[in-house]
Amino acid sequence: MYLLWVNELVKDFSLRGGGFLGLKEERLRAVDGVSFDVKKGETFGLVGESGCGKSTIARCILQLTKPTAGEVYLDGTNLIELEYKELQAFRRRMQIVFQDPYSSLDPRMTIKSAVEEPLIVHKLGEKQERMDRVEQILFQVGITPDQLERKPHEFSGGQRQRIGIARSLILEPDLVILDEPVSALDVSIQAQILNLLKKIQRRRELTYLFIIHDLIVAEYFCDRLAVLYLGAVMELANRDTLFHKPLHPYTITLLSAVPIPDPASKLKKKQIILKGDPEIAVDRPVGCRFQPRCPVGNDRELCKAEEPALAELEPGHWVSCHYPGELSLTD
Amino acid sequence: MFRVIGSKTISSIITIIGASVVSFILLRVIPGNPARLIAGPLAPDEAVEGIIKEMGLDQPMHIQYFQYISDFFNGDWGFSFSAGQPVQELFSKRFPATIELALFAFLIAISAAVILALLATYRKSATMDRIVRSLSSFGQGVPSFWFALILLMVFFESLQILPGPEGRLDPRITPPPDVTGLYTVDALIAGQWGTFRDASLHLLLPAVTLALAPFAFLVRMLRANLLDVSREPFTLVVRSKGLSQWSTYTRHAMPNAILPTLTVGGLILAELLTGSVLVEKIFNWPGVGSMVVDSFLRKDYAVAQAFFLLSAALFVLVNLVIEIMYGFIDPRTRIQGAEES
Amino acid sequence: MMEAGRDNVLLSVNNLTVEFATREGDFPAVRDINFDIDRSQKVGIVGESGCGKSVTALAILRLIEPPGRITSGTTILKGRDISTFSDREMQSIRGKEISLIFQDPLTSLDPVMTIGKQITEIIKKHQKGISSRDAKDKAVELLRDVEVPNAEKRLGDYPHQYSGGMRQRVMIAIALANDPDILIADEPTTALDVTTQAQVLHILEKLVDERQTAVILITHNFGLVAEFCDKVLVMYAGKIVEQASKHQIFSSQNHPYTEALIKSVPNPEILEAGDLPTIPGIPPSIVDLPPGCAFEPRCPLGNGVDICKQVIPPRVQLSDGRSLVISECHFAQDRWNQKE
Repeated sequence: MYLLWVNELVKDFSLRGGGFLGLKEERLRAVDGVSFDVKKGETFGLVGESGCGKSTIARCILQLTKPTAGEVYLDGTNLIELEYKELQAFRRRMQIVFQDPYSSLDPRMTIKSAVEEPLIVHKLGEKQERMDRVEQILFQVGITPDQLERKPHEFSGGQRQRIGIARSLILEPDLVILDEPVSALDVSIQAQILNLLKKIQRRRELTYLFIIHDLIVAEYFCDRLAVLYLGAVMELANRDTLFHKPLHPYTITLLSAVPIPDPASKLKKKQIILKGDPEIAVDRPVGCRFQPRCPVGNDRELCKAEEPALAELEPGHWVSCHYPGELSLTD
Repeated sequence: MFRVIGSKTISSIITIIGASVVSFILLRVIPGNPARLIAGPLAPDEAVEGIIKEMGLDQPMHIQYFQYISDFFNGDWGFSFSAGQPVQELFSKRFPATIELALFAFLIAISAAVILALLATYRKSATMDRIVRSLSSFGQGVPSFWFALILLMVFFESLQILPGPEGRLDPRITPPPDVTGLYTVDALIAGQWGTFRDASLHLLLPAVTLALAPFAFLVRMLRANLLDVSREPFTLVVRSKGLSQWSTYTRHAMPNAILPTLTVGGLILAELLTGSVLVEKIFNWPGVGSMVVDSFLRKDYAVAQAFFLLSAALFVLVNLVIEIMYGFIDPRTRIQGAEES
Repeated sequence: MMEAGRDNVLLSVNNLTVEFATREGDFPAVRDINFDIDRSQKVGIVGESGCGKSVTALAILRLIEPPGRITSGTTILKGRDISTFSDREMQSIRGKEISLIFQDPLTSLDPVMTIGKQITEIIKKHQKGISSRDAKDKAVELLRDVEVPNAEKRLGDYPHQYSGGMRQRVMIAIALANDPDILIADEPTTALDVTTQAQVLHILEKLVDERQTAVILITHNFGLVAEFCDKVLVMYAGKIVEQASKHQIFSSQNHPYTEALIKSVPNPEILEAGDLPTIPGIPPSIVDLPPGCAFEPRCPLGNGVDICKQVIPPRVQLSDGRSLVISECHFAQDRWNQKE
């Protein structure tokens, strides 16, 4: 059964300043009809490059910003239709860990207060209970009690990220959204944090929505993934299928672009270099959004005229392409 | 780009209209009969009656307002009883003196600020930096009249190399033919070198006095901006191309640092243009500042009213020009970029 | 790749130490490092944040600003000792014999100067007497080399009108404008998307191969190293703990840090179900360096061992006739022998 179901999510941003006298509004469609579901206990990855909308999707799910259209169901309830008070109860069940360990903690609060804050906001427990919980959770992420009164700047990047994780867990959520949680960290620290996240997930039966641009980490960490480009899902599949039998040209291009940290790699990857530079989706042309840069559909009429629908080509394997599978990853 | 100019112009016009309304209301808010205020405390009652008729003070408010506005545009800014002249004539005599002084002062302030800010930052010498910061503190803390008097004492009395507080020219010299009203410029146009020299020398001390506070402010701003810019990666990139530290600062750091100073500079210039009483009094400079204050003291409100509207319009105009200029100079606002989200 | 004969050596850095002055005293960011670059060789410098790799790049070009300063070392470029050069003399090396590319293309270009002027600036600086016309033509040619479409028209654009990938390619164009012998690239693709990264590297590789330029690639991305470099230098806490060919570094590491680091990099081909191997603890900061080996507290081999705690490990050259590995570890020789 699914814990999270996102259905036809759309988010528009208006850019003021167009036209004469700066009064006309232009519309930027950051998320263009995205649907996916996340099963309880799994790790679902949202993969894509800058401008693909993955962070906006996370904010819409958390109701930090109101979607323009579409629904977000958490455990069967549509969050968008809820009143503020009702939403508060659901807010406890989903939390987020941010990317930048340097700016996601208030520099003037002790880490003890920072981790305690969610409990106070949701009016949970008495002072002593709260303290116990804070100590316990910080210990679980590797921060000892003697460090509780310190401020964020006294900790390293990896430690700060642990504190951020502790803060997200203190309300005992069901769903944790991880927005590039290890991108700002060194390689050896990345490994530490990823291990910690896995351990916590097992112990608490958490469901993760993992936003990531590093495909190797994505392959290591996620069970199922959706590949996003300019606000829409290009391909959605489980890990093995996506990484070994991808069908969408964009997925294949992404995979071919990732440098493998092994000079003796057996994977004889084809080198696919995209043409041109990423376009901004302000006034989108018709047709497939990847078509202008696509090695397969760049010149094809169908790709220029019509946007392909997201279709389930195999059980659990969804692709949005007119010519899936034409491009191959290997020579 | 032009849409930006359009919207800014409209908001400027609205501001000036607002200022005119306030100025109009002010006179009617001051206790007493406005006609009496304009006629002066010594005028006989018939004169006051005459003024009421003339100014239409018995008319409804909105008619009075439109009358006031149309008069203003026609050049009728009222009559100054204490000077015995139409206000408009008074201003046209006094404004050029203030403009000339303000422009000189501004030029001195900004040149000194640019040079000293550069010196303070480019070699990263702590001593130079300290000197410049002290100069800035001095400039901000020192009262202008004190500074003026010190300058006069040193350069006029002791060293005797500069003229004293006798106004714009040596009393024995006649002003050059009037083209702009600025003696230095007019002297140059007429080819009168002697007059030019004399006018410039007379300008020196009051301009330096007036420049002190703006210089102090500008040099602090510029220095901070230069430091910020020098920390940006692109200055290191420029150095890695093989350019010298000086070239890096003058060709890259300074143009970037001076942009934010432009808007502030505009406001400073506008303020200087509306006159400075203390400096004008000390140097006997026939400018607008002292005229307005004197009128106030004599309860000659016609002058005050006109000045209020004029200075508001001036500020708004200078602001508008600066903003438009900024839009043209900073390429980031001039051209919409192909930014990725 | 072996150390080629002496006359093939382009750049030789010896005993380089860079210190930073703080209120608590002087601390070394780079400690006594030694390495050579051969003609058209591609060398990768890897390490985690704070290991001193960027400082090394700046030190080669003598662009270290106070509170940092170079306290010892000689740098020999094509036979000349440039470590004693005045800033004026260094200006004729920078951008001409050695060029530098930085990480963030957004902040690496002057936002209020056209792209064209920023390219012609470096051309005119080093080709005295070149006409503006010729410099402009050269700039157009360079933009075409880095595959910027509409090159002639785009000379007049400003940096914010270019996308991130294009800006980085412009940086490459600027760096290669005067055909330098060495190009130092400090994390050139870290701020870019994966597909843009591939684009930029593709162009970089094409150009340096054409011109036979040597490259020093500073990165923390092992995938890049595997694809691009010939030789690898691994840095930790200001020291080069291991130098070897790319294949050696990936297949049989000598220094324990290199071994642990390589193991902690996720490799899609050896995805295990269990946890990723990690290195316990965190890298030391330069104000907290131990008297002996800086890696000792985290070292699976040397943790607690007296000599590792007290004595800074010596540089050991290990060779089997075919390849050369330089390692700074008390156990270097033992580990080398074990593998034979």
